[in-house]
Amino acid sequence: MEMANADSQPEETKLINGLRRGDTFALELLYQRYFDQIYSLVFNQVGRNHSITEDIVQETFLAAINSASNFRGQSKVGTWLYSIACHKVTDYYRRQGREAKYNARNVNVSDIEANPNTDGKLFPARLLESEETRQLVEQALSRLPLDYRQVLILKYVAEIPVAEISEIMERSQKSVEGLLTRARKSLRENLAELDEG
Amino acid sequence: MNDYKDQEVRRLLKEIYKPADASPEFKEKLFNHLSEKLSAQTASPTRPSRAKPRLWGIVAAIIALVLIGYFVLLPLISSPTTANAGTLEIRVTDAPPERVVSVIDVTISNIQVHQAATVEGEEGEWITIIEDARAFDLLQLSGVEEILGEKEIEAGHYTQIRMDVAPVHAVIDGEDVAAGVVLPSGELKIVGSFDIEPDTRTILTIDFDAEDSLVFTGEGKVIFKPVVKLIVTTAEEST
Repeated sequence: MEMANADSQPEETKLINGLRRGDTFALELLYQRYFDQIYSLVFNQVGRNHSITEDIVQETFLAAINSASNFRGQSKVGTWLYSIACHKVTDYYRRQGREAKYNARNVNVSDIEANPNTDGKLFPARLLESEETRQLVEQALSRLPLDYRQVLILKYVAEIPVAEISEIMERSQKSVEGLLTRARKSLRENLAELDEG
Repeated sequence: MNDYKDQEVRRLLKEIYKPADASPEFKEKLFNHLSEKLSAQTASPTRPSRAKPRLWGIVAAIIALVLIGYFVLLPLISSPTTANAGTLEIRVTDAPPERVVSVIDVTISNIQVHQAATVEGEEGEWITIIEDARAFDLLQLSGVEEILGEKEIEAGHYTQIRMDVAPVHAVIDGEDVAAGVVLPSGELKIVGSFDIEPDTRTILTIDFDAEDSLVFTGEGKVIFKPVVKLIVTTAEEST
């Protein structure tokens, strides 16, 4: 999933101006360009639950329509939408009272064959070799705080540069880099812990 | 080494987090819904979606129906002669909202938190977090949060937050209105405990209920009586 190439600034300005005027063509353009990316971004943050994703994606686009007049053009439209979506995901977890945790699929760790990590790599090489180990990785990810998961997804799945992630997450670039370092470290520790069974 | 780590993480996450496809029905349904919202918003740009005015409209419609029934239908039914009869048409409508509130500018200052006493018998201490005034439009904060400020304070247990609230400026039916603030102790005080832990960011979100906070008195005055709740969340410090 890569962020859509934001076209030239004038075109993005036209798109937002169109939204402000209530132009459905502008809405259609925005929707075609960003719907799939926003959907995947949210889907991967909420434990791949389509029902929850649909609610949050709807809230995201409604918020975009309502706040188009406040968009100052200081960031790309995609960055702005990603930021709204990430805030909506955070709101969702806050409402659920289970901040920083998502509803990971049930994985019975004792059912997973435990093999020692012997290859010396950052992550065990045998990971992803089977559905069980895939679930193990999912569980390791689910143990991460929400902001760790968000920064990993934005950086490595959506492949958004750190400068834009800092706008989306409203943190300094230095803070995002620190967050990435800690997120990678926690992921590695969780995997090692689960792998040792 | 960092490049290598990056590649490893990327490989792992790309395997786990696949792009997801929404159902075509949802995609189409949502687009239609958004189109309707966009059109409605353009048609009445200053009418916020507030439940209360609509409710009043429905109540007004019901009262109108009852009055029509009492003064028009009842005499017709009880009248023995119908030779000189006319037609009664009954309609329903949702009257426009009595008031359209488009701005509620709130200014708060001198935000303080109360640190519980660490020694039994002592009273604890009020600590100022933000002294200067901070202004915001409550209606622009629906679903979003605005950061007012932050301060590093001593780790410990805190039990209350208080602040001064200046008279509120609102725009009602397109007109500027000054709303006096009604607070029992002259300040907004919220009792709610939270802990400050080392290397942890604690976030206090003061969640105002805009609709219930603005009160229309019988004398035609408008007052601001804040209805708030405190939400406490924590996050590991990022720097």
